[in-house]
Amino acid sequence: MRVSATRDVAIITPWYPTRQVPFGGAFVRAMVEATASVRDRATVFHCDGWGAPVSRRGDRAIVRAHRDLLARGARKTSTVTGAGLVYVPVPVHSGLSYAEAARRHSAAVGVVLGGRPIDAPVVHGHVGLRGGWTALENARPDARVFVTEHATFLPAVLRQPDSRAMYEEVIRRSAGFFAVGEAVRSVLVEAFPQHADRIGFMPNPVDFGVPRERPVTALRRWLYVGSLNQRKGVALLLEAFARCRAEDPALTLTFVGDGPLRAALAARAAALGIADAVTFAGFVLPTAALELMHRHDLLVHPSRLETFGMTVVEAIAAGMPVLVTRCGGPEETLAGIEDAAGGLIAVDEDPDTIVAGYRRLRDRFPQQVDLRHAREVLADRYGYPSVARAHRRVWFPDPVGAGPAPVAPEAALNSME
Amino acid sequence: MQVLFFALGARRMRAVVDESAQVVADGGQAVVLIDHAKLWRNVSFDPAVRVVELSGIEADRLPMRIGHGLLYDVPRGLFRAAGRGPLRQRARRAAAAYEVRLADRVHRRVLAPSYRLVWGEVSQSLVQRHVLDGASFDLVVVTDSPSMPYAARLLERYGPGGWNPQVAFGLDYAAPSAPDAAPSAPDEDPSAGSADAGRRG
Repeated sequence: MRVSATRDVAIITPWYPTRQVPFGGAFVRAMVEATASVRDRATVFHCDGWGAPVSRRGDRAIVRAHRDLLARGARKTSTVTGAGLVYVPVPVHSGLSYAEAARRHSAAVGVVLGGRPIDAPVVHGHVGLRGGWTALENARPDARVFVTEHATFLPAVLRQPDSRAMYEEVIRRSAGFFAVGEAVRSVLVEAFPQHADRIGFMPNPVDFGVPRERPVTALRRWLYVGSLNQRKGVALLLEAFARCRAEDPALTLTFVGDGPLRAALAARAAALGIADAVTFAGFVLPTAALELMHRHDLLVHPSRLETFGMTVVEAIAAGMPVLVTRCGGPEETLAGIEDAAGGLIAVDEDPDTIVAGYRRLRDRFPQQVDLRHAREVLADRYGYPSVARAHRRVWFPDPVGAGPAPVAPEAALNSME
Repeated sequence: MQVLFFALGARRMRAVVDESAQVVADGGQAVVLIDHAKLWRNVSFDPAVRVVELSGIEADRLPMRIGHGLLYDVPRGLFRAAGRGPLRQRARRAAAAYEVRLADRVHRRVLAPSYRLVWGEVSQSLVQRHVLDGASFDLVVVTDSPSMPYAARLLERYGPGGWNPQVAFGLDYAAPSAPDAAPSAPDEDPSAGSADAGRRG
């Protein structure tokens, strides 16, 4: 397998921050930032699914027009670290399988490229369907294609026969396939046991660059960062907050993010008589989210399922303790430093679980919480230099030897030191 | 810079509101072409942004008047007739629910698209008269997929020799405006790597 002399990378992703969804794909942008030191050039192809309820006839008209407009309107701009950014809208609608959507993504990139392959020796796709497939279909023949899977909706992908078959092909054809954590990897290994030894780990990078000026002294200003939807457990959080505030009227809660539950949460806060203590900040840019973390005391993250839990690591990087559910990713990212970082609680439907977790954490804070240690450990696991090294090993391996073997789970973890 | 936003699908409102506000904040002119104002009632455009409702300027056309009469005027009359005396409040609520849950949706998803499919040329003449006439848009921003057929046909109508604005899928993805533009920026080959300095910015 050829190891290119140039360190050019193309990154294909269905998520990347936009004005419409400023949080979307922040982890991909972090990956672009983190890996700047181990590559010469990079181009991000952000294939953004534009959904709309349309008829079959309407969809056909859109697909035709899309092709014309794409040839005329897609161009390269720039993103962080001077990397190129090509924004590629892809029309989709409900009823399309993940495989069908992946074909649309792939075809759209093909139109943008004018039928030529991506001119980079390394192509890295995010999520098997759609980024991985799009990368494989548009990479040049000698390119090595890597894929990182992050998706919480992976089980839904694998339930669709055509998508499952396409997914298997993505794993088989890629030079390296990674899961962002065990929560994702276990699903893949169960679905494709024949590829178990090909599926390694590649964590998301987190910026540990901006420390908090003054340490947290009391856990009064609660913060939630993420979507306001059912999966995130935000309704339970509000109920738990109300119960804790009944004991301590100085408590406040800030929701950062937006989603379908926002109006219901606001109404419930009013009904509970705590509207004056609850703030809805809406979507904010990542820099503003970091500032908010510096102005709050405790991140409460009661999600039902996370494949990694970027926000949790970011909060500790920002110097705040966390109270987080064991929902897949967080117990893995915080392994060995659970108490130092704050506290972990069970995933259940009882707000008192959050209340009890908060009381336990409050009672041992700050003496039995060692945020400095937690931050150091996490920086070593997920800081930009560590994740950059992990990417360099697979993208541009030393020319000695047979080439880039996929990173086995243990090897990947060991390589993160 | 004069920018025309196509936002007929009302699918990416935050981006449209934000980007149109930026155009006027930068000293330009922004026109946003939407389909139904009702869908945008929860968002606020910058006062300097001109918002044009396509269904509004189409409303006077005979097919749309007939459709509107069948969908709205006739049912309103029936609800009024049925809602006399003690049933008045109930009939009003039912009429409002009918319009929100059925009539508006049929209008958006069936009537307006069908009209544009059959009388697309007429519809586009209206846009030409109400939006394009006298304006000189440098940039057309297509913001959602339902806008694509309409935008593509309108651009095609002018041909390469006529109005030939830059097309983009977001303000951030457009080439810089002429005075600041890099010489080859609009046609740069996206398959080639960028001049990435390889440093964290």
